[in-house]
Amino acid sequence: MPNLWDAVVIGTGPAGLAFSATAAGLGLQVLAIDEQPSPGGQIYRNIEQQTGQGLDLLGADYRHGLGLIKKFRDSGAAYLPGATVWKIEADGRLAYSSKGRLGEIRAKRIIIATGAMERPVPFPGWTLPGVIGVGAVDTLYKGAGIIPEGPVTMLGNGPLMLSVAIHLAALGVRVAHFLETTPRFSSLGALHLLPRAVVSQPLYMLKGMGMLAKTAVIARGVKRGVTSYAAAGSDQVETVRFTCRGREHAHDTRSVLVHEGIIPRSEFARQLHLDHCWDPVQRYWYPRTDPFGRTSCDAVYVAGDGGFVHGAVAAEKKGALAAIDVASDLKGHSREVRDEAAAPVLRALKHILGPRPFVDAAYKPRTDLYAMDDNTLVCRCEEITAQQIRSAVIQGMKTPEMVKSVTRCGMGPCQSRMCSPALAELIAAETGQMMDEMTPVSIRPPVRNICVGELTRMEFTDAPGGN
Amino acid sequence: MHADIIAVGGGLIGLSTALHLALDGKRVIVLEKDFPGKHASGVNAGGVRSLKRDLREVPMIQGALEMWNQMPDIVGSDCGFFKIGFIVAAEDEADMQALEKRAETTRSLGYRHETMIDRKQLRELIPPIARHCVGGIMSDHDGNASPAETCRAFHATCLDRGVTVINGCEVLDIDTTSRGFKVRTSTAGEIEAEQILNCAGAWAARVGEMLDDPLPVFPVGPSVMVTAPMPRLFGRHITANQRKLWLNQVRNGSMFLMGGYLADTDLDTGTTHLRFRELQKCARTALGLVDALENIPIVRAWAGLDGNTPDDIPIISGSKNVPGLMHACGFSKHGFGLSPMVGKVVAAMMQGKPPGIPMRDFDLDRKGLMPESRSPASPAGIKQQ
Repeated sequence: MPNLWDAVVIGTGPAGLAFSATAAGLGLQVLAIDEQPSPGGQIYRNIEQQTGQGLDLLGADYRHGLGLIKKFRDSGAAYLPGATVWKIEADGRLAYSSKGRLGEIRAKRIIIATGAMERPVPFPGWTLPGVIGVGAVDTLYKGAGIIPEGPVTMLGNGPLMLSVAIHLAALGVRVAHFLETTPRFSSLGALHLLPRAVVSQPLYMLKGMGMLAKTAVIARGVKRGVTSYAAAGSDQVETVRFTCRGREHAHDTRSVLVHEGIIPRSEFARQLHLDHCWDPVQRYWYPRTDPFGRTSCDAVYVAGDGGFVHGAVAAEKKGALAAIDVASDLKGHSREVRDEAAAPVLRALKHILGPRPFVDAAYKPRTDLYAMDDNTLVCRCEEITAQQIRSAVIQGMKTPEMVKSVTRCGMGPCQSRMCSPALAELIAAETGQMMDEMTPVSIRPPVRNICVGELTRMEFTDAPGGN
Repeated sequence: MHADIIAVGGGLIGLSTALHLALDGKRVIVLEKDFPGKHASGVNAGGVRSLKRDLREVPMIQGALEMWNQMPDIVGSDCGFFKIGFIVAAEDEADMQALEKRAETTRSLGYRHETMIDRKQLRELIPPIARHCVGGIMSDHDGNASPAETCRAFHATCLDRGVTVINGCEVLDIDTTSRGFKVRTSTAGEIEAEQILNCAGAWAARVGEMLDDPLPVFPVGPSVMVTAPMPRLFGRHITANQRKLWLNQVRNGSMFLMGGYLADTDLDTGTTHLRFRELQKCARTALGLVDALENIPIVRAWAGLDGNTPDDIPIISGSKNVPGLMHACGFSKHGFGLSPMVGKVVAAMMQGKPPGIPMRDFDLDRKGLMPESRSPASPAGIKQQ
């Protein structure tokens, strides 16, 4: 492998694939590095290995990934699958682990295309076996053909609930309860955004209506306006309890599939201390970027849902935009040349994003997302409860970093991936601070676990003053 | 605002001194630019150790160990302190002789805490230790505490005892006045006091500079790697005589790997930047002593920010230039365990009372601290050990 790449992109979902193909097409030496054994990211996971039947079941949106991957394969971009990046540096170095070996590479530009993740929301029983994310179910059946044990309860908010419910039905899994936590009048509140959504993308909106109708047919026990819920069981989930319009309900269940929306995966952005912004509608932090994805760190870009959750099709365009900017930058092109190349992509992106304000507002998270009782486990790794966090706040710890230092919340092996939104929201609620005044807890490398023995054999690049 | 004493720095040295001063009726203001325990005091590995400690510090750590055992009485919390015992292994006969000599010396000074162990005892206590080790020295009253809990408890007790702790408050400059000092701060205006305690850790030399009192204290960023919790591999914290290493398995089973491997430091931003080449040296040093670490995952690494002196021994001394200015800084990567006792001693010294233990080895005038006559050490000179 070359010692210095023009660009290294982390992730081969739609943004990473489009970046690689576009940048390689523009003459850059590109390396795409990905944890998975084959390209596609979460959305097109395992697509090259699917049978025709699998492709049919998952539908046209999934099949779209095939073309994207073909362009990537044909582009001449180098590809390192099965490799986990665990540290990036502002000077362009990346440390990764692959098959038990640790290595380091350098790039003139790093593109973080690590996508999004399901918003982790602690609730009583969320650590029980049988409680799983809706997105995780999606990943499991795409990647390994594994389906959850039915009858299942689906619980939460967001468009992903619909598509997974439809896929599950096609796979023969019975959705016994479909419990929506979407605030009851959020669609009404989003009505003023509807005309623009329909005008910009009538087909997309029609498809959405179709999915809603289909879900209503497939799913049993549909309830809207669910406000709080809990899973219970001895060593496996057995019961789900929830409140709906002031009434308590309980059902037996074999699996609870939960989903409270999608947020950008932020570990590298946080490891690099990139500037962050807060989105008050969808309630998440996202790295501050320019329209091409360049972050507060000059050598680092974020492309795709890792920058802001807009979905797979938009991610593709964002990957291409980052590639155009990086190429023009490295080749010393003028702004005009870059903007000319970018104009059609920006137009396409704008068109794709047309319905987004409506969708984001219609599926905005409920306000009491983190109104958990004291006994709820917030940090699964270190077993820290909401009560411990609240009492640290009462003792004067007013920031996530301070509470972390006192409680150990976020210090476990997951490096606060699962608890950092809840931690910040709990502190904000307790102190009356606004979320946009807060800073998420930082993450230190190694962002992913590495073994002591592997570290002893790590090979470093010869960067000046390298560490 | 006015106080008898202003402590610059809300780490454990400042808090613990402030607590003892307040118990003696003094009005103390602690100025902390971040929050208590943000840096070295709160993010070290929690070792409270007399073993392998410089002989000049042994009386102080003995006093501190007594206090660690009484923490609930002092700050209303055990601070997570528990006795675990430390072992320094000997990897050959020469090591063994060196350790025996050390044990003889501490015995001759009147201390009984260090005992020699042979190959068999070592193997029983630390089953996975490298086969070539021939024995070692052990101290069973050493222990481990929780730095975060210790900072929290000292902070809370200070507040209970009437100490004013101002967090997020930076000292911008300090002037001498006819009655003492005037401190200009970022968020609390001007504060006057009769005495100043410089306990600013990594920033101590900067505080000295404000009063034209140069200090040979430079910033260091000692790093720590933490593993996932593992079944108990060994019941003592361990190192070897010639290894730059400490291997601690703490209560939840996580192992800490460290040994003064330094990160880059930035005093302006108060941050450290890990150097993985250094962490690699640490991993190699550890694996050479315990090869069972090979496949254990490292889940986290970090570095604190501490102040170091040229001779690795703290400065606990009145200023030679500025009357009323006291320095307690330069703890050189091993101040946590000492801190309760330092507070007690410094509080006494600032009131003109006898400190109770010999302090001349920590004086600014000691040999070896300033190689040339009273010149400031290079401020950015990060010493690699």
